[in-house]
Amino acid sequence: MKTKPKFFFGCLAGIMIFSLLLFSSGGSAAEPVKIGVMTPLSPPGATLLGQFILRGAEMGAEYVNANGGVLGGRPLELVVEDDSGTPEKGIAGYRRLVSQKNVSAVIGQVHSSVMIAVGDLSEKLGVPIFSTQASSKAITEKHLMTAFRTHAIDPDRAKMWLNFIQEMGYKRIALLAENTDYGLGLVDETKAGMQKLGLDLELKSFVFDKKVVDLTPQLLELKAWKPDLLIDIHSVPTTAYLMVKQAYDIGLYPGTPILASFDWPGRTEFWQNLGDKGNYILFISYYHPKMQLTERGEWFKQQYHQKYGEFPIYPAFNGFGQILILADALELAQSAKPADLIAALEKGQFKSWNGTVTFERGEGPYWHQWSPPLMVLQYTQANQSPEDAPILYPPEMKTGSYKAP
Amino acid sequence: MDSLLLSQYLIAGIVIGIIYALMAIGITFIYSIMKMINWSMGEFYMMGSYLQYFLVVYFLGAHLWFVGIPLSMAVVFGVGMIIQRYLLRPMFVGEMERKDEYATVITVALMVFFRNLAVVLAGPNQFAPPDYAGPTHIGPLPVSGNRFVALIGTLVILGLFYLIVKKTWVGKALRGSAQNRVGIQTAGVNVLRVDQIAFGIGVSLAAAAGALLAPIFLVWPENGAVATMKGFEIIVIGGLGSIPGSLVAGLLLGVIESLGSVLISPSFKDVYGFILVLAILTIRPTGLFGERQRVA
Amino acid sequence: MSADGIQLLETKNLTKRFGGLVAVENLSLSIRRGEIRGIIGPNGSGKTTLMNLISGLYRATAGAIYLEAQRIDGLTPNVRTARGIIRTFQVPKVFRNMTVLENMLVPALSDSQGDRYKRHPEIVREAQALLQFVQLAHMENRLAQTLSGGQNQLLQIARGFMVQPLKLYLMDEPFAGVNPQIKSVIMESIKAMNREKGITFVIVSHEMPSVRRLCDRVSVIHEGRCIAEGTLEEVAHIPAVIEAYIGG
Ligand SMILES: Nc1ncnc2c1ncn2[C@@H]1O[C@H](COP(=O)(O)OP(=O)(O)OP(=O)(O)O)[C@@H](O)[C@H]1O
Ligand SMILES: [Mg+2]
Repeated sequence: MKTKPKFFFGCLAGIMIFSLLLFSSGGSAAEPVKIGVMTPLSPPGATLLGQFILRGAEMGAEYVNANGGVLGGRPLELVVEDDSGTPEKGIAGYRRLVSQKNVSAVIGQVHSSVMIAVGDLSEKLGVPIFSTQASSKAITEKHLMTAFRTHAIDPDRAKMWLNFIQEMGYKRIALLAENTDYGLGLVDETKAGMQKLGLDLELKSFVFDKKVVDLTPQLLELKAWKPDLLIDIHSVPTTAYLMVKQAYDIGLYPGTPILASFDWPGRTEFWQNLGDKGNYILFISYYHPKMQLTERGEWFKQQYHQKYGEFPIYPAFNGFGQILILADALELAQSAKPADLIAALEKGQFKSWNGTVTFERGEGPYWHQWSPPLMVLQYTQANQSPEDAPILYPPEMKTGSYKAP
Repeated sequence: MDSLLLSQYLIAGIVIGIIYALMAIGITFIYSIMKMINWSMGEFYMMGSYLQYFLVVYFLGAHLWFVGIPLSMAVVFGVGMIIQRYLLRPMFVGEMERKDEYATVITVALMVFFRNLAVVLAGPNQFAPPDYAGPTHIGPLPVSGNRFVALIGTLVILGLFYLIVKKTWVGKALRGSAQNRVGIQTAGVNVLRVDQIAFGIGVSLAAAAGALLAPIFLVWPENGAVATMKGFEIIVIGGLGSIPGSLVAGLLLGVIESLGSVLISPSFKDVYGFILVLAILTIRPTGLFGERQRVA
Repeated sequence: MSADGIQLLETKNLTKRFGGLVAVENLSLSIRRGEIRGIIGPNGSGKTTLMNLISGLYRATAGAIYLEAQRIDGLTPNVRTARGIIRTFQVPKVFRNMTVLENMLVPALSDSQGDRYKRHPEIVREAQALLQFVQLAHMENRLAQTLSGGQNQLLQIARGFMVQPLKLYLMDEPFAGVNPQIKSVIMESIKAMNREKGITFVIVSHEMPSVRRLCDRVSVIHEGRCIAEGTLEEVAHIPAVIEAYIGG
């Protein structure tokens, strides 16, 4: 019987090695400039966002390398790191990227809690880190030399929906918020914005734990409160889809409209998962397929469609854009040293996918912050593509009005 | 607190509690016979949900969802039998020491493996099969047809499980192995075969939960994690190895989570279960229905 | 190895070590077909270990076991049962949450019994007859956990008789903690089964009167070795045996 344990560990090792093989990928050629992509690729992180950002970043590197690379022909090489949406892993990952992989910059941050933790470390190690879709204003409010962002921040988002609420004439607003920096931050921002704008609204927040999949009890309570609008503040799409289903099933939605805090309803799987139940949802978006893109943005959109058979969505665009920004900044700095790169980032103007990006030393959270244009979209038909969803707000972009069920 | 709302919470808790219990019963059943904990239970749940999704969407069509459930269970039953045969059985042959550790290592490795396999085969995205039924009411609670179906489905499966265990010859062998592993061997029964059947049945219960809950909690590589966590909480509350314990504890957990999250504070829903777990561990370390280990 | 057909069970230089402790050492035994053999010896001398080795719950460290001249060490317990070896335990191993009748039906589940369980009414009748024989018939629907220790010992023994074919019956302390009435039922059933069905018995016991009444020959085990063999009267006068009992 002495051979049996060996047999086990044989099996075990086999399983492990196989799992690892499934995941590893090959490297590339000599003297590249390395850029880290640290993004959530496993739970409890928003793995989908991570996947899209990675796709965008990869095509960004392809674009740059196809156009002769940077710093006189050096290729860009991406080094991927999974932060799982948890600060501990983020810190470890950033350390590894900087000290072992010698990256010049890191992009891909999605979760505010991770970005805040990593931001402090980045200030010590000096390598710039980019929020690709982490929106807490605390990230840029600290005025760190190393933290940059090309994503809308909470005050932008809260201001957006407060204006929209005003236009729609809603009075009772339920905020269904996860108990994270993202969720609670937006609740505070909404309250502050309401005061600043002098609005007379009844706000009530319903806080839930991020990992909870069944929100039926909270939704029942929320329904009993009879709000005019439910603002959903989930950071993970999967559980957000479940929430919509559960709200539908207890008869809360679509009678009471739901406004999603970011563009998770814009993904194809939204309809796959929800079918007819998803119709009439409102969502904040930083991208509309009919919006005007830059030349680079247009290139990306077409290439992505060719490669993946679907059009890219915001996180992919933003991942792509940040790589191009970095490539331009490297050229401007004529150096791959992080300090030179930071100086160039503060100085330059960069062509991204949706406009010209600058990182100024602005006031409050508007430090190293570039906010993309925001809008409120609504689905007016089941299985509608985001392309056909009318833009309800802001007025200058408006293509339709709120459609009640 | 208005009584209508209260009864709504209660019913919501009962529905979800019974469904949680299915998972716990699978874990407890395997434990009671093999005396090992299957840490990869959630991955069999996941497998059941994927099978159901692919069967319904690509082969059966939406109206035949109820055919998908037994089929998914059957496939997972087979997978479980194979895993028992080639990965778990070797540790029961001969006088191996520290079986618990081997079982833990193997099943945790399986967990990692199956999750990664799901990502490789179907991608990280989530899917949902079409709804099983339209919205309905249980008393004052408007419930989704899916939840209603899951509740009824769970009750049917538990009923069948009870019949198999209590009334059939296989059930007698299963019960005998649970009650006295040495006794059944010396009575001439091949416990390794019994183990194989028990493992198959246990994981197919998880698959049933996955298939039934697919339209409610969606299908994706890590969807078993929540169900497993609930399953283990229930087991601690109800007592490892006790099937009635799992059922009662499932109901208790469902109701307490539902009420706790609205009556006390909604932000810590998962914490209520843990508080219950801690309370039970303090008062009755073996769980509500757990027997103290007999020294024969 | 003897293949003369008279020996039912033989152990050859059987040894079992637990770490540094030698529980059974170089033990060679021959049990004739149809014999009722007693195994006696002081506490901790290795008797139960010997039962465990023959029934397959333990693997021998060294040595061999033959049943009808075929090697059986290496077979799993259930396969040995299928070859005709059944055993009981010092502490009865009954299925506590099953009824007495259900307990009796468990051996029918064994693979070796083929589809015997499919002949349900027949096998139930067989079980009931055996329960009648050991005077437990009136309790057939009670859960085993409600029975007394002695009744469970009876049940355990009766359940063994359900195995077919049954060649060798190993009993470990069947009379320990059993009241006189049950003791005599056990003795009668052993004698009857031996006489009528030719079943061979190996009985481990401390109860010398019962051993004297039942057993043709006894083997004395001391510190894992067989130190004497013969009728109880014969071995009782061997100095080594006396010493073992006084010393132990
Ligand atoms: N599983 C085991 N592990 C370690 N030692 C054991 C084991 N089983 C038995 N022993 C030891 O082997 C020796 C023989 O034990 P065994 O139970 O066979 O004696 P016995 O003759 O049946 O005694 P008794 O008359 O008390 O029943 C004892 O010293 C015992 O402690
Ligand atoms: Mg003994």
